[in-house]
Amino acid sequence: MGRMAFLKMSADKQDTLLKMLVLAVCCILSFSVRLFSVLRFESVIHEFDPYFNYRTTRYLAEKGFYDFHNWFDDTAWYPLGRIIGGTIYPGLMVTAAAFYNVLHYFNITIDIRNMCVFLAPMFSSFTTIVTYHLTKQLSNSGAGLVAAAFMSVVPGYISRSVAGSYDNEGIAIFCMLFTYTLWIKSVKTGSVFWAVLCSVAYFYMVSSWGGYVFLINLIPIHVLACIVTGRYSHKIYVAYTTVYSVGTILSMQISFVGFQPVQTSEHMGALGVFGLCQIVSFINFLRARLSSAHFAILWQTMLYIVGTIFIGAVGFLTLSGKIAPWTGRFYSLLDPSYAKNNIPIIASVSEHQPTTWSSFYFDLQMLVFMFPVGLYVCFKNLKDYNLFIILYGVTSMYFAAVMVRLMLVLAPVMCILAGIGVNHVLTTYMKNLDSVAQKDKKGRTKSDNSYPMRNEVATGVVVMMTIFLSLFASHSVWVTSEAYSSPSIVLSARGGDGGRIIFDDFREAYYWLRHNTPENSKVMSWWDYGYQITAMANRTILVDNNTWNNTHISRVGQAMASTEDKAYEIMRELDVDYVLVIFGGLTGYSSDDINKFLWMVRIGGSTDRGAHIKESDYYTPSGEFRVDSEGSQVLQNCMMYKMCYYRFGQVYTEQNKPTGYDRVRNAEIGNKDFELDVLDEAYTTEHWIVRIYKVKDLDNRGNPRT
Amino acid sequence: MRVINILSIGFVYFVLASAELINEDVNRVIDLRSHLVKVTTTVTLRNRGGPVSEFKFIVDPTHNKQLAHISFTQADDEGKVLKKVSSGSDDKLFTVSLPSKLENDGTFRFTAEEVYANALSPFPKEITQSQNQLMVYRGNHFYYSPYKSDSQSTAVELPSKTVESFTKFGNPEKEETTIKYEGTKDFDNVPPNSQNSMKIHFENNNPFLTVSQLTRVVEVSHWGNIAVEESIDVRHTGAKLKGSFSRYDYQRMPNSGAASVKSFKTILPAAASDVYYRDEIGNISTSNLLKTDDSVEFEIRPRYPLFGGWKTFYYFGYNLPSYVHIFIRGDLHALKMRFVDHVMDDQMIEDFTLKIILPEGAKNIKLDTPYPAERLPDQLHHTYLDTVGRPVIIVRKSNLVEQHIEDFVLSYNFNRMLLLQEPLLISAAFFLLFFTVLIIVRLDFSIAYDQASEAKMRVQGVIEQVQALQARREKCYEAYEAAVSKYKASKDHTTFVNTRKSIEKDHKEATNNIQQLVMKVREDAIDTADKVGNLNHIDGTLRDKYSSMMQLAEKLISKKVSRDQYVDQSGKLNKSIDDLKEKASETVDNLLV
Repeated sequence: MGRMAFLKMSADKQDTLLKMLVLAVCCILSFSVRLFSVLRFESVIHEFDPYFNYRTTRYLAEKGFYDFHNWFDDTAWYPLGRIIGGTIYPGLMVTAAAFYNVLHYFNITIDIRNMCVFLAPMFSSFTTIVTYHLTKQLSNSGAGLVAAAFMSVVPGYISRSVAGSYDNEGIAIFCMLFTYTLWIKSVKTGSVFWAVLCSVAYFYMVSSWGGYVFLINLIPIHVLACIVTGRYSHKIYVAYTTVYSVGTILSMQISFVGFQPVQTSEHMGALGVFGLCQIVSFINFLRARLSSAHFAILWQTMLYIVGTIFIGAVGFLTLSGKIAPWTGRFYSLLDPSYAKNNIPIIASVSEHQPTTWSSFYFDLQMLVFMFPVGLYVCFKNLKDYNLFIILYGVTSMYFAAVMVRLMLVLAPVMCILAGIGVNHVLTTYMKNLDSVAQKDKKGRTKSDNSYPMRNEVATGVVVMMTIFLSLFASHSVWVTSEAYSSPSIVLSARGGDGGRIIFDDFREAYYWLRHNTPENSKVMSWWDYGYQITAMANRTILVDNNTWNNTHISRVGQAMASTEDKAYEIMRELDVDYVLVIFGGLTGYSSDDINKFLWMVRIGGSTDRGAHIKESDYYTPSGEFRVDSEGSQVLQNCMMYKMCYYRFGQVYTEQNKPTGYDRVRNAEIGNKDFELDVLDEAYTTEHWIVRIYKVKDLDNRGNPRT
Repeated sequence: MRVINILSIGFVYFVLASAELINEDVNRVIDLRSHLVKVTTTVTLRNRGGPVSEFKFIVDPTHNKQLAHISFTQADDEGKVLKKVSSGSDDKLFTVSLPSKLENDGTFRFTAEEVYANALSPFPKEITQSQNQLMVYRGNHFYYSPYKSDSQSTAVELPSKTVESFTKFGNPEKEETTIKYEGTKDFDNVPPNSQNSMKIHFENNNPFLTVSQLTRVVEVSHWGNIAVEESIDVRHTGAKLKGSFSRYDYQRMPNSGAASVKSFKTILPAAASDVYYRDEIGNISTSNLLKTDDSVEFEIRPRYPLFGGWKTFYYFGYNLPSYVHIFIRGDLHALKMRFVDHVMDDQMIEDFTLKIILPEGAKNIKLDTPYPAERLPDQLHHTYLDTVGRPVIIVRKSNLVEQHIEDFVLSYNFNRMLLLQEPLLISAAFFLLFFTVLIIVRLDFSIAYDQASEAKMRVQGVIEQVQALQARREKCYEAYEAAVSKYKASKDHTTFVNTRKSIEKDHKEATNNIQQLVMKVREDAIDTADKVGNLNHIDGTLRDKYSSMMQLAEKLISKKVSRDQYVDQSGKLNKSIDDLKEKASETVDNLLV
């Protein structure tokens, strides 16, 4: 009876039911595949930046929006402080706090931490749905379903949206695709309604991620491409002018963005295209009214006048500083070597490194191969809106190749184009499968001479695609489970007996700081740990992951790279009470401060006050960075070295190795027996990963300690 | 000022009471093995006056401020608890009633158990990681009593053999870990209210942990579960750590950090399940759970070892089945649970708050605590699926020790029908949701008139009607067949004719209806109309076949054809009928596409 009821449904009801079923499965899958870390460890915030976001969200949920907006945080960047409200993209926090408040209004008393942990998986479910709609707009609903399925498991996106990875990107991808969907819709309809909705979505995007710059450049490029290829129409004019003007005004409401949309060069392209639209429309108007001879004269005159005025105006504004110079991060997008040569603080972040080929395959797998197929299909059936996805694909491909982090922007378009491609291949061959199967009944009376082995080829292709798709699914789940589901705040390793050993040293140290130091203590550490210390230890720190003040970070780098007496001066100057270092030599935890030390030296030496710190001093004469007895003397007497290896010289770490054997650098340390003059060991965690030192006060006569 | 006060009270009691009672024999044990001072005094009272029904007990003024717990039991009779009739202004003077009147020259033995918190002070106040922790105890060589004592003896029990110094009053003996003040004449015929300061400086590396604050939340659900969560602030109240903490020494040197606390055990009720152990920044992975028959042992290891002056905060919780703790008679419910539970051995809780969250709709709440405690105003708690909020009963008490682990009883009225509220609420919410979706999907809210979709819907409706009518026709076909076979069996011609007429009438009606629908649908969808026309055509042929079949049957009955001929012809007819029927049903199915 049930089967009969299903069959009796009209075709489009069946269609709707199937689509909703597939989408629902995709949503559930995209949510649950991101829960590995919660199941393996616990519901905990991951890594570094998410801790800041979590802390601010908690503040927002507790104190309300106005307090949040006016928040001056005096526990970071001591003694400068940081105006939180004006230096962040608040979209993420507002979203989480809004969900939190709505749920609490209905007496669903979910913890704010859980809200933050599960926000990214939830938004990836939403992204799946939006991907379906976007692809449906571009191609058809079959392609939409395939793209949605890809989107739910693509590792490139999962890497930024697992449970606990509470970062801007988690919701920004949703916002971006949503904006694109509405943009396509408004280009298709040419209606002001959709264009306004698109600018509202754009506003949400701006409020949540700095990557909105990509979006506000991509849409004008699309419009420009339409103009150049002669696809310009009233629909595009209405859509773009509305989106640009409303979107820009809305985006300026975010205090961190402010007047940038009309001042900085990143946004100038959009403004230029906006102007161009007016001109092209005007020309079209004139062309319709004038004879072609008159028009040609007018055209030339106009071209010269407008060109001169435009170039002159841009030049004047740039020189007079009205258009802000291009920021370093943007330069590094265009020229990958720019940051490495000029701004060490940008280069030091691993996610700003250029992408390797292997990571393309790792993050996208078969999508890499299906992407060109999708492009081909789009080209074959070129429309105004297809042009958009082609442009999106090509530009984001370039950006992803420049910076690992932008893989995130590439992943959705890969899914969409691969979805279109796979759908095209499958629909083409599935038909053949059907037609031949019917003929077979009559015993192969008619075999098609123009297409021999029609059924076999079709079966082969379909089977191959099925294998590819299932391989993709299992690869994605494997990558998620192995590479992207570690909270990095809790480490785990396999013990000798096969059991799991948990290294919870970070939280051990932070919790010790939280409860056993005076509340106004200032903690100095390398900037990576800043957000975690403020969020978990609740103590004032000097520098954090915001990295807005290069000289301040440089000062900390100088303290770490100097000898004890020099460092003591700097620490007194900065009013430091505790110093925290990460040391992996005992356990073999490789991303510790000694391995990051060269960046501290580089950044420390990059300002005037740190001119005496030279990178070459920290190398052996043959140019190696070594911690053993052959290493440079400057290195072996600097603060960082001493803090990491204090009393380590007495410890046996591995069998058949001398004491003080560093398991990360595989060397016996060179400087074993020393005492600290200006510091006291305040706390060292169980596996020595975090070491905290207390800065000694001046002695009674006020003399320095050394 | 304080001393004068105490002395004056002592004086008053000396005057009032000493005339009647004397302490014949006093046996005192001062236990200094933990961070609490436990004094157990066994006293034999002798009445030298008229019959008395109660006796007085004064807490030693040297540390009566630190008293955390006191109880009196009858020494002879299996520790029967004696009732305290507390009097006196500062609660340090107890009047204890005797089980029966004590006649002249009668004797009575009782045991007083006192527990003092913070009565030990570290000396030196700060130690380094490698040093042992030394404590000073200041007490009284005598049993402080309003009555004269004939003989007294005092034993001081220490945690280790190492003693820096102790007062030598009355020539005490020290054996192993015990110091005995007894036997000499200094301890005979001690006058009332005697004081002689005792000081013992000794090594004590036992855990000096104090719970600064404990909040115990008991959430009762009548769906069968009681959730308990305790949030605990612990600090090490021993000698403070001086200088640096060296992890190397702590891991490699055997005697390093002797006074620090690495872990301790909490004993949970045997039925406890789903235990968790967390703090503000997440789960604490260093803990062990051991289930035994009568309890669950939970080894708590803080994130870091606790040295003197360090503190930590954590919370842990577990679930209990409610049938163990809730007793029901009609609407009346009684919750019987521990007021405060075990946190660690020799626990000392400075500030304790108990919050009991009852289900929504609990009324007439009465709380019965085992000892007086401050009841704070009730609150409301809102959580999952609540409407008006759950009543929260809050009780507070300070300075609790192990002896305070006793049950409270909370009785309240609760209508069990209210249990249905939550599932009903969920059902209502889902109903509303689906209903809204239904409304939105089914009704057309657009203000524009969409011709195409209107037409489509009309066609849809017509198709459904056609399907229904076709089903009716199919019934007619079956009826024809049934009539024929019945006729063949009964050979009743009149009935057969009648039946045939009625079926044909029915059939015609259905066909006419379909014809009308075809006219209707023709404007909206030609192809559908064609399909239906085709269907009608098939039906027409079918009807003809049936009529010839029936004629054939009549011929057979009237012997106009032979049996063999009939079988041959009807077989052919049946085959074409089957084909036609199949065709018809195929056409009907294809109408929708």
